[in-house]
Amino acid sequence: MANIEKFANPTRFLRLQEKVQPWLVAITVILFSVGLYYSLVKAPTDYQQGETVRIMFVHVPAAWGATMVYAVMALSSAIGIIFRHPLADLSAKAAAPIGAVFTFLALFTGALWGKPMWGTYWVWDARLTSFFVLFLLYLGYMAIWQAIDDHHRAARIAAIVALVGAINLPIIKFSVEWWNSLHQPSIMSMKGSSVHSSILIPLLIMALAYSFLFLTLHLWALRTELRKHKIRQLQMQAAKRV
Amino acid sequence: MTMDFSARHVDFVIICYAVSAVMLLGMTAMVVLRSRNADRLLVKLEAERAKHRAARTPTHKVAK
Repeated sequence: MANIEKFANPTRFLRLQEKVQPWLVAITVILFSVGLYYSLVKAPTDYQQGETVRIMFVHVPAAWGATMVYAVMALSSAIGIIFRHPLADLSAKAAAPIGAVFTFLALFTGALWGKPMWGTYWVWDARLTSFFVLFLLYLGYMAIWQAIDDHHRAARIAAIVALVGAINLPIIKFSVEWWNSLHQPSIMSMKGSSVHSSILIPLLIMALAYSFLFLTLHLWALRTELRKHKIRQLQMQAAKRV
Repeated sequence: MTMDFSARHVDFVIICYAVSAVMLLGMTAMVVLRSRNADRLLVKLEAERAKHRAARTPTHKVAK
């Protein structure tokens, strides 16, 4: 906890972000390069899905990323509400657009996988619908920040929305078990994985690449939010002078 | 084991990878551009504040 408090200091955070940023960019580029090589070259064609199986290597990491980013957003919002730490609110705000893009990609690539496999782009199935709700939650969260000028008020309302919306995460996770779903069950569980290593390895590398991309962009966007906070303060001081 | 470009539905795979690349690169570019714009504006505002402070100091000295 002491370490978290140490880096939650904005000045220390900015110093740390500047130090780790080049490393994060390098790791992300390497992971995407290796992941794409495995996904498009090394991974075998599936006997049932054919070449369409390769869509999984961008669809599944995007879906995992989308739920992970929302969990980060909800956790940051909870910290913002409980400890009133300004960096926590900005962290949630910075994460939202990244999560929205991941969710859009999961929905889009899922639809394109669904057409050849299920014969349709979309069904109002529990997993697909709960994922669409996640996309709407991201859009709603971002709209709140855009619509309310008062920073503190926007942060409080957005945090409440993020926390209420977090109830959707277990619904997404267990939707394939609770309801009859066209979507296949989770491939990863506590007992291990249900897919062959030739498919699992590219999937995990791509998931790691998406996670590092999120970490890189999130810290970068958080730095920008801190800068914008300082800009607002300077603009207010300038307005008082006039 | 390389991807077979003559296989059925390969166009779906290509679209998925292309859209993912465009969206992820676009998002990265947006984050970088917003960061650069904020840095530029901050430098400008700090310079203005410093200029204002410098302009105010001699006036006070004259007044004394």
